[in-house]
This record gives sequence, C-alpha cells and structure tokens, in this order.
Amino acid sequence: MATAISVNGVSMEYKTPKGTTHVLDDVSYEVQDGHFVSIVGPSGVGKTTLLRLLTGLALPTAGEIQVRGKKISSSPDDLAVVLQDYTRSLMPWLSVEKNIALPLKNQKLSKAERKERITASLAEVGLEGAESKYPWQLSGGMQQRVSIARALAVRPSILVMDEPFASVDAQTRFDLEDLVLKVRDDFGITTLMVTHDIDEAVYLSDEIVVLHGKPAKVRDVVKVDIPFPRSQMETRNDQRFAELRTHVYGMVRGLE
Amino acid sequence: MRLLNSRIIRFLVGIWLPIVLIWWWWTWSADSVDPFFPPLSAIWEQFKFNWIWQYVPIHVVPSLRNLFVGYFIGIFAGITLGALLGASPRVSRYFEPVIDFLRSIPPVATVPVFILFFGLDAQMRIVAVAVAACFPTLLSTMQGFRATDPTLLDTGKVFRLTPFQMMWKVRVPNASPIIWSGLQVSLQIAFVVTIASEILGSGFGIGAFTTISIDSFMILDAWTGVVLLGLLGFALNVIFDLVERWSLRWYIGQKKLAS
Amino acid sequence: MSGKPLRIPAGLVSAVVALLIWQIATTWGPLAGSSVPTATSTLAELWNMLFMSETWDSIWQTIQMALYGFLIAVVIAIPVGILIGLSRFAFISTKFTFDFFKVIPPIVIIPITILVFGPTLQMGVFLVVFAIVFALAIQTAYGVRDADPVLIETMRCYGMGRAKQVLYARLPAASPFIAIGIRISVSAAMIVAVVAGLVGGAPGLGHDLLLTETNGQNSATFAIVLILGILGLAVSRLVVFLQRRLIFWTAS
Repeated sequence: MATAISVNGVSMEYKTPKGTTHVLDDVSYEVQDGHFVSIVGPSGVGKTTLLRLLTGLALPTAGEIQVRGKKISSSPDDLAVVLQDYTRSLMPWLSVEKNIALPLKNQKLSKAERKERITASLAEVGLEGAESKYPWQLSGGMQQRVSIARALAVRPSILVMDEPFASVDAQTRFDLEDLVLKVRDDFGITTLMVTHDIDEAVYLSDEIVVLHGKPAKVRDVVKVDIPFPRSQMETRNDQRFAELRTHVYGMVRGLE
Repeated sequence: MRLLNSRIIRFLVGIWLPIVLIWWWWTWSADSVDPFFPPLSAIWEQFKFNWIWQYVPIHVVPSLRNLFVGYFIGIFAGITLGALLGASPRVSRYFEPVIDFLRSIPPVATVPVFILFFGLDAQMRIVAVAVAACFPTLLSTMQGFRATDPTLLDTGKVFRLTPFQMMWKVRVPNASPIIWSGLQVSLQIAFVVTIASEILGSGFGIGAFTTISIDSFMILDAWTGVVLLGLLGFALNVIFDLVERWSLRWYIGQKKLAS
Repeated sequence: MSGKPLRIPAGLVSAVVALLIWQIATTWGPLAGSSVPTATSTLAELWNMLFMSETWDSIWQTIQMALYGFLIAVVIAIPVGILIGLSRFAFISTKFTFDFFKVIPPIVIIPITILVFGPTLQMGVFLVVFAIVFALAIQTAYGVRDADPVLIETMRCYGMGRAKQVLYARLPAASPFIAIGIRISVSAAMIVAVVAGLVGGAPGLGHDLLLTETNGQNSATFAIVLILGILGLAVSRLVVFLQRRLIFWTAS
C-alpha cells in the first residue's frame, strides 16, 4: 500500500511578543492510502497547528510534509477540508448549491458536469433537494453535511477534518460519524481527523496518533484492530473498544 | 394589541399622524396673512406650477445629475481604497491619521475649498460631492475588510480560490453589511453637499432656486423648493433602503433566524 | 503590530508627507500660481489666527450653537423616546413621521429658518435641534423596546409596577442605544453648527469661512478648514473618552 501523507520531523515555532512558543517538536508519521487516521491529544497540545500544516495554511519551521511524495508549500490540489465551525466556513451569502460550486469553478468542468457533481455530493450526504437553501436555514448537522458535500464535490483523494462533529448534538454526531465511514468506503478517501473525543477516534479510525507534551511529540501510534464494518451499537460495546479507549485515554492524560 | 401584528393595521396606525399633521398645517395656515407662512393650499398650487414640470429640466435635472455622478464616483473610490487599506494593516497605519483628520472636517465646509480649485461650475459640484461621499464608504469598507473572519479566509485558501474569487465571493460579501451602512451615510452627505454647492455657487439646481427665491422675496417659491428637497431626501432614503434590503436578504434572513 | 510605540511616528510621518505634497504641488506642481494657497502660508495664517480674539469668538459661537442645540435635543428626545418606546401603539404611530424628519437634512429647511430667525445664533441652535432630535428619540425608543421580555415578565410576576420596570429593565436596556445616539448626535451638532454659518449666515466659523472665501482670503479659508478638522477630531475624541469613563458597562 502506498503512502498518502508523510510527516517528516516537523517542528513548529511561533514568534509572539512574549518570545518564541515551541508548539510541535520533531513530529513524524505516515498515513497509508485509504486509511482513516485520527490525531488526538490534550487540549492546547497543537492539534490545530498540525492541521494547519497538513492543509498548507502554514509552513513548518523545520521538517517537511509530503503528499504522495511531493513536498507541500501551499494547499495541495487533491485535498479538501471540513472544519468544526460550519457557521464560519460556509458562506452565508451563498445558497447550498453555490457554496459547493465555488471551489469547482476553478476545475475544468462543463456546466452540466458541475451540476452533476453538486447533485451527487448532496445525495451522498443525504441532502437531496437542498440546493437552493441558504446554510443558515439548515440545522447544525445539516450544515455540516453541506460542508462534507462541498469537500466531496472536488473529488479529493485526501479529506482533512478538524473536530468536525464537536458543535452538533449527540444523536446527529452518531449519524455524521457513520456518514463519514460510508463516504470513506464509497470513495476510498484517505481521511485525517483531529478530535478531542477519544471514543469517536477509536470508533472511526484505522490508526490513532497520540500527541503529548510541550512542545508536542508523537507519544504513540495506536492501531485500532477492530474489524470494519463497525456499528454504533456493537462496536462501542466491544471488549476491544473499551481496552483501546482506556489505553488512548491514559496516554492523553499522561497516565501511561 | 394583537391587532398590531397585521401589516395593514400597522400601516394605518403609522399613517394617521402624518395625515393629522398635514391637515393641521392646511387649516391652520388657510387664512394666514403672515408673509413667511403662506397657506399650504397656495404652496401646493405653486408647487404644481413650478415642479410639474416647468422647472424640472433646468433645476431638478442638474441637481440629480451632480448628485448621482458625484455619488457613484465617490463610493467607487471609497470601496476601492477601503479594500486596499483594509486588506493591508501595515499600509493603512500610515494613511489612517490623515484620513481621520480629513473626515473630521464637516463635508459642507469643503465646498468653499473646491470653489477655489474649480470655480463655480458643475465640475466643482461633482468633485465636492464625490469627495464628501467617498469618506463614509471608505471607512466602512476598511472596517468591514478588517473584520473578515479568518476561518472564511482559511476555507477559501484550502479550496484554492483565486484572488478574484477571494475578493468578490468572500471578502466583499462578508463586509457588505458594514459597507452598505457606509453607502447610506455617503448618500445622505452627498445630498447635503449637492444642495450646499448650489446655494454657495449660485446658478442652477433646486438649492440655488430656493436661495434665489428667498433673496428676491418669492416666499411661495422658496417653500416649494423646501418641500421638494424634503420629499427628494426622503425618497432617496426609501429607495436606498429597498435596494439594500434586497441585496442583503441573506444577512437579514440569518439575523431574523438568530433572534 | 506592536501598538503604541509605532503609532505616533506613523501618524507624524503621514502628516508631514501630506503637508510636503501640498507644499510641492502649490509651489512647483500643478497648482502653482492657482488660487490654492501653499501649506506654509496656510500654516502661517493659522498661527496668526490663534492670536486673534475673533477666531476664538467664532470657535466659541460655533460650539455654543452645537452645545445648546444638543442639550435641548437631549432634553426633548430622551423622555419622548422613552414614552414612545413604552407603548407599541405610540411607537408605530410616530415611526413614519419621525423617520421622515430624521432623514431630511437640516440644510433643506435653512431658507425657512432664515426667514424666521434671520442669521442668528438662535437659527443655528434650532437647526442643530432639528438635525438630531428625531434620530435620538427613535434610537431611545428602540433601546427601550429592546429590554429582555423574560426580565419584564419576571418583574411582573413579582408584582413590580410599571415605574420599577422602566427603572430597572427598560432604562438599562436603552442606555447603550442612547450612548450610540449621543455619540452620533455630538458630531452631527458640530457639523450642523458649521453649516448654519456657512449656508445660513449664522455667526461662527462657518460664516467666517464664507466671508474669507468671498473676499478671496484663500489662506484664511484653508486655515479655517484646518481648524474645523482639529475641532471635529477633538470633539469626537472627547466624546469617546467621556463615554468610556461614564458608562463603562457598555464598553463595546
């Protein structure tokens, strides 16, 4: 299996008026094609910083990040994101359709193809017929589905998500988790997710990268050896699920 | 009180006071011999005589032309400069004190300055209106651009939007509620400066007509000028409100939902 | 952006550059020999004017018109605004009328005020009142109506009367609205006081501006414009400062 993303010895420092803040220190790991990888760690550990580096919004002060063997210097082509705060990442002045269409305008697509993509991605996330609605007319869960649809519409090979389900209620959260697993199956997308919810990380992932310390280092990479397909009812009651979650929780808390 | 939720009832309730006021003015002034306050009926007759449509080509048309040409030049410059300065805080730090000072000068006070520059012709009026209209729009555009949510910009970058898209599909719409409020102030100021430039730089225009009427003691004519200007000022605001509400319907809908 | 230490130099640099451009344009540039005075002659005139009592009289007359007009407007507008805000019927009844007068700039009625008052201080005061009283009343009424309905409901449950509701719920809710209205009103009062002089002939800086312009005293015209800018800046800074001090709970 090929490597989709490789993070090689990445360090990140911020210069602030109070001095230099060292956020990440020599972080390295590899994400295999088609895998679902979660990044967890205590709050303030630098998960969001790592995400900004992965999406090319910031460049590391040392080390490099490669996507399919190519070092990234700006936002890579076949990568899409879903951010936590859907109210601030969807454009409130554009309808659902136009929100999804905006990034597509720069791909060489005919009008019909674009329309096709929009309809297909909305169908994938279960929002058929919502094209002409404005984001703020939809519930939080539905807005996050629109975010996912927008990401899928550009046909990325890598999907990066920042705390995607942190702002929705518990029931919606389960639905969206299963939606993300379905999307991964349907398109074979390599998925990276930053989360503070350990249960969610275990439920969704092939691998969990645990960050810890100040500056943060990779504490461990945990393989989640629970077979797919997973289900909310059974997987979460699985013996192995409980063990893994306890193990990861201990590392995040610094108990192990 | 539940009755007041109906639109028609609300309209009727809103309209009784103006009707009473006009009726009161009409009867109170009916037998007036005070030369300064002629009967409203006489003002109305003279209004019809003057403004439907005898003096429209020589006074109303130049006023509106100066107003709109000046206004649109002013807001175009305001948005462009405001966007440049708002997007680059480093540059704006140098311009801000000068802008701050210039906007503290009452807009009408600049009219004599423009008379020095350009003399008394229409060009002077258009430039004075444009400069006065520029500042509120410039300041609100700057403010709107500065308030751009970084999450929106990040989203745009990750989806590799072009600079053109970033400008017109992200930053401008995001700043538009604030820009619109600046555009409205600009329009009001442009209207005032148009009138002032006509009064000070005599000649054509409704403002000039009204002052000349006063100077030659044609009180009835002066009253029709005042009434026309009042109605025009009100009409401009109403039209502006309609355009703004249509353009910001996404914003209004969003806010309604939030409350 | 390391705020304060850089701010003053940046302002100074841009002010000096602006003056230099002005000077060069009027000495060698496109405006050389035009009726536009040079920066140095304007500043010299400004310096002279600072030692003339007439200048200070004019400044005081302008401030007087703005101040009296502002105070009268506040005394009328705030009680009226509160009363209108308390009743939905009164609010809707007056809204159209007040909105109408609110958007009509005072310059429109100057010809009439010249007839009634002549070019006097009173005319300036009247125009200032007309310019701000409607907007301030509407603003106050909006504030009173903005009070939290749950809070009002709660007070009613505890048997508190109308007076207490106004005192403890309506007025606190209205105060930020009134603060904004007052800030806008003060700037508007100064502007209208100048317009009253320039266009209506009322005494003060506006009138001086008109006189110097018609007499061809161009550097004096420019010097007065500079004074107006400084005055406007000072007044708006003062209002912001006072509001921060007095109503600290509406800091934003």
